[in-house]
Amino acid sequence: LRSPISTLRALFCDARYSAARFIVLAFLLWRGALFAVDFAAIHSLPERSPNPNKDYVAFAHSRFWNTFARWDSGWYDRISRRGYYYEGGQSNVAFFPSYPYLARWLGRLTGSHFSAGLLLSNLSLLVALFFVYGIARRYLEDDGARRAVLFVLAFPSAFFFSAFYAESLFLMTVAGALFFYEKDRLLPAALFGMAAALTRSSGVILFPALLLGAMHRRGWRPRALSPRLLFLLLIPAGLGVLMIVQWHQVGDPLAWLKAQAGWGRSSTFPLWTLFQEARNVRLENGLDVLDVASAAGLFVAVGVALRRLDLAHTIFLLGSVLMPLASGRALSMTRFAACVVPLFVVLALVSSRRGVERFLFFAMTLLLAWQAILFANWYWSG
Amino acid sequence: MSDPKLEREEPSPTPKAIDDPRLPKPLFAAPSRFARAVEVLAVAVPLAFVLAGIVARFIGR
Repeated sequence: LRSPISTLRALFCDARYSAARFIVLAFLLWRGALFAVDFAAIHSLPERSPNPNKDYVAFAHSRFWNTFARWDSGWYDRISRRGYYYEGGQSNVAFFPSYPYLARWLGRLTGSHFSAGLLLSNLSLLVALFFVYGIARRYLEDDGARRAVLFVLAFPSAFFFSAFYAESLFLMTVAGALFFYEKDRLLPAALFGMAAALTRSSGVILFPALLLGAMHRRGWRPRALSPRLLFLLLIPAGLGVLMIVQWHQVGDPLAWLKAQAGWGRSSTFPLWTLFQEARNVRLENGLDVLDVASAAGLFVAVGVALRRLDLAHTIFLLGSVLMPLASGRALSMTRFAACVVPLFVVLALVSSRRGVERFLFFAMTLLLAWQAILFANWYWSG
Repeated sequence: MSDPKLEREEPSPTPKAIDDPRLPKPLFAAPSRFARAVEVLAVAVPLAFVLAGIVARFIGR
């Protein structure tokens, strides 16, 4: 048995843990820098006013910690406190349960579901970074995999990973599912996939992605198909759990789907949505441009993934852009893109040249700071 | 008497499995015209819709 001191020395000095040290350090520095931007934002710029969305206060005595509870945080807050119920046009039934319920349960330990949620978001991000590194190492050398980690942290909507939002948990569950899929460990992959399907609607895309990916790896031969593929049925079962919960609480298993209309979403041909959103983009609102650019960027990533990433990643990428666009809007696409794990592997693959890498980091970091400042002051940011 | 070093090398006894489920397998593992066409279409078609939307905006339709 090692002594605690030699274990600590190994963690800090041993070359085997170099990547782990890098991930933890990047996480601490990047979050620290982002928190500094948030702090400066709320002390140097006025908050949006009047503000009908501000019908809750997460932390009564801290203006700073409140900057992490904005916009959709209110929906998660209401699910955490009261469960699902109808609230007129827009309703909390549109949001998936794992994040708000975990915040509620952990809140019994921390004293508040808001503090528990923020803890959960930041810890999930840290774990997700390890998974992303592990996935990227299947395709890249160590320095490339480190780039993938940094792209997650620098992505323009990465500030949501520290907010009272489900994005971090979703990123972690998707990354976990793909990480274990890469090792052909289908039970843990399916369990992470099930958690993803309980966190956001697009989590269910993991089912066709992992199933078709696993069959493709086995050469599509019936004899090679393993009964272990049946584990993947746990992923749609996650959606089934949500439907049972909503059936029990609001009497309608499809409430989550019907509530989309409250956000102006309805079934549309995805490419037609791209056309419409590009035509109607409000140039005075830079985020509209960013959302359309994110959708277009995801399609470009699909083109790269077809030949360079496993089929499961390609299907997840494609599904992650088609599903929101099929709802008739590109709204929040930049936020959704932040959880599309294969996108970061693609970014790392195409940025092996120093100039490309620097340009992408520079552009992303600027956009991230801009978006974080807007979010902190209650301006729409996805 | 022949030099054993000059004898023909035996083929590898266990060729690498091509369908090892633990290895990543892209949809198009080998470059081909078809693969290239699908790649180009996957990117060009959505971008064409974006471009058409931008053009429609500027000509006011």
